[in-house]
Amino acid sequence: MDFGLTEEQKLIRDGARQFLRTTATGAYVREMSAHPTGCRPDVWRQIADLGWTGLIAEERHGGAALGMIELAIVIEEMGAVAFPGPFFSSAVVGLSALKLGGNREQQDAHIPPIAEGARIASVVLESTEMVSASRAGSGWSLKGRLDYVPEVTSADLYVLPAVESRSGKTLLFAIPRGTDGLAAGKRWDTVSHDRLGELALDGAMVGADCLLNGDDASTVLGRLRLVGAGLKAVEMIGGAGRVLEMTVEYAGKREQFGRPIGSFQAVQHMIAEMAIQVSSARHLAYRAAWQLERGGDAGNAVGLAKLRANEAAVRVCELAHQCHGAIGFTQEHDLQLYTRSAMAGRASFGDSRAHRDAVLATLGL
Amino acid sequence: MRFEFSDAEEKFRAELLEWIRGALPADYAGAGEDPDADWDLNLKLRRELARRGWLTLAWPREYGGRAASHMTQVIFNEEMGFHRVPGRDAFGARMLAPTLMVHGSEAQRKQFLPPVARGEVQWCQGYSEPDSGSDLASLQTRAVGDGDGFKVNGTKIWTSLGHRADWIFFLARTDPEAPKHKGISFFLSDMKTPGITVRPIVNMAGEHHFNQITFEDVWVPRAQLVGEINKGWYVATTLLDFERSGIDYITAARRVLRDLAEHARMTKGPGGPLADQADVRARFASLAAQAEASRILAYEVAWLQGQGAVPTREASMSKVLGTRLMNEVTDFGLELLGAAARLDRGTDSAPLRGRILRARFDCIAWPIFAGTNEIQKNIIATRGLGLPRSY
Ligand SMILES: Cc1cc2nc3c(=O)[nH]c(=O)nc-3n(C[C@H](O)[C@H](O)[C@H](O)COP(=O)(O)OP(=O)(O)OC[C@H]3O[C@@H](n4cnc5c(N)ncnc54)[C@H](O)[C@@H]3O)c2cc1C
Repeated sequence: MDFGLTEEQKLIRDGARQFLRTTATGAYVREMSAHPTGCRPDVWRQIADLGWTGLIAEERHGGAALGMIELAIVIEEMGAVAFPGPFFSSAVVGLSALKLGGNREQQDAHIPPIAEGARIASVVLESTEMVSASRAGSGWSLKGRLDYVPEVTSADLYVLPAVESRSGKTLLFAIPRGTDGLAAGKRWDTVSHDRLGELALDGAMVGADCLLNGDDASTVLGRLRLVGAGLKAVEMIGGAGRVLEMTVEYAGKREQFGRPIGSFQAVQHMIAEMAIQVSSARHLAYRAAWQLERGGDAGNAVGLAKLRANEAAVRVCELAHQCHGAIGFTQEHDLQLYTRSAMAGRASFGDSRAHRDAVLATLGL
Repeated sequence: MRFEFSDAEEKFRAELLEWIRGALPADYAGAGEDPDADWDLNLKLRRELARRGWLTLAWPREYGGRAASHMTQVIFNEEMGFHRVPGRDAFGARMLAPTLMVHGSEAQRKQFLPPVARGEVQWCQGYSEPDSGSDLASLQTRAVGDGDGFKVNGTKIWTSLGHRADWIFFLARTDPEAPKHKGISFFLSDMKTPGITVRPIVNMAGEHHFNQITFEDVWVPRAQLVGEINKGWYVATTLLDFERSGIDYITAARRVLRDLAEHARMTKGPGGPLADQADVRARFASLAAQAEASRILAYEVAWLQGQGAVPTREASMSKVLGTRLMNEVTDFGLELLGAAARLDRGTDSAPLRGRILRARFDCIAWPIFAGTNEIQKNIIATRGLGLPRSY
């Protein structure tokens, strides 16, 4: 066992922390809540220059060819500032989708622009509705609606599942924005101002080159859900860790009854509980990232990590609110940004019920 | 022992329910959808409650009240809360008025009680300050004798409805040399008095509910000092005893639980309605039992009050239980909604019109206001159970 980071990983962490904490202030995060992409163009440019948008892309595609642990390190730091924007959708799930599902030409066509931050990918993994795909000439005709589409109005490339009308097999398509018959609905009003919404496909005609992974895509989709859930757990723990830091700092400063509130054992115990939650959930989240990197079945590792993160992140915020008193209940205070992220994170890439079976399997149930 | 309401109490409940059915607009979704529209409805219903004598249900007859039993008040608060009927008046009718009956002068009662009873005036509570929350007695707002009154300077914060209020009751320090509890006085002021400024504070749900209020050389006539000078702490704590009623928290939680149960019956999960799934049923059962336990404790508080007792320990327990329950129920609600838990009220497909998410935000404040739950537990442990104080 080794819980440590390599020198290179430490450099990545320190660099990410330094950049994100100076760039993504609370004011910036608030400003981005109404922004169409959720990320100011100059900041997105800087992220691309740092090599993050292509962190897991191969070198021949202009990427840094790093792995899941390095990605997790950056994402934890993003969670720590409640960083908004399309990074998760595009550089994490989007690149993974193309790496796992694309053939050589598709990868060569789509990965470089995503890796250099010029295009944004959206992968539809949580839709409650389905699209059907029928052969039409040499290509396909797609019909139906999808919901919970990330980066709904700003994505350049939608990666979406569709059911083959005859075989009932699940297929995976990569469709550029602007395709005839593809219409993005308006952005939904959501708890953390993310950019989810609906996508309608009204007999959209797409070429054969849009079909990823020729055959049955359910394995790829399953893997993508694990990548999303595992790294979302990391992001949530990044947020919880920062909330713990903020609370320790506040409890040491705020005085009532002539002493810092952090000297009351009632408050100390709440903060200690937060620390326990963060530490335990953090290790599981990193183990999930490690397992995803290593390959093989990551179902248990990810299920455990996401279930634990779901419980820990919201609990940590709740305790932090209690320690902060009324000031933490304001829009002005940054704590609410994290509480909103935690609630959104818990509901995304599988709520606790969705991951329960993977956890129960570890008990043979 | 007898665990049922009397015939008179049941009759009152039936009469109230009948009125409630006619009082709300058909599509009324409960407070919070549109604060301004809700506010107008609130004022309208308040005057109607006043006409029916229900605004002053608890007041003694000599002040035009109904002298209703504590249990009847519990029934009133439960039904109004469960059906999300706006119109009640916590600051005026429930908190300030009974305080004036105990500590106010004859002239003050004559001047201030009738407008409250008619539902015509909105009061707000100026207790907390930026540096004085749990340690309220450390407050720094100063009132200095000035002719036939006082000149007040200082800052109040978290003043709920300060932007809607006509009048404020507040605490200020009148003797800075005295020990902290012994130099405080209780005042009333018209909000239109020159020198009072209200600055809105937007809460984490994005709503304007509370405010910061500054006093700059605000003159308050001596006639608006309640009780004796430097004895305001007694007045203040009398009022706090009227503030804390756990039943409102519990009722809100019961209502959310019922809405969720209906949602679970109507919503398909993997393999049948959500309500048929064992884990969902287990959580519902546990929360319903907690709700009922909390509810009966709140009834006990009312019963003890009816016996003339001051149930400090039970009232604190009721606040802790009710506020915790609401947090658990709404959080369970979000888990039950799964992926849709993210959708806020502006999204058409948001389940239950986004109400669970809104309630989840709202109730984060409940274990904080009206005495934090830690302070309540300090009270339970020291005053209630006789344990030594740690400071
Ligand atoms: C929505 C809302 C509405 C409000 N409306 C009003 C209003 O209308 N009028 C008004 O005057 N005030 C109002 N308040 C203020 C409320 O009364 C205070 O928030 C409350 O008294 C707590 O004070 P604080 O926020 O300063 O927290 P603090 O007192 O700073 O407490 C911070 C933390 O320290 C803990 N703590 C403090 N002292 C102790 C101790 N001795 N032992 C153990 N733990 C301790 C607290 O429990 C809490 O966890 C409102 C607050 C909210 C959130």
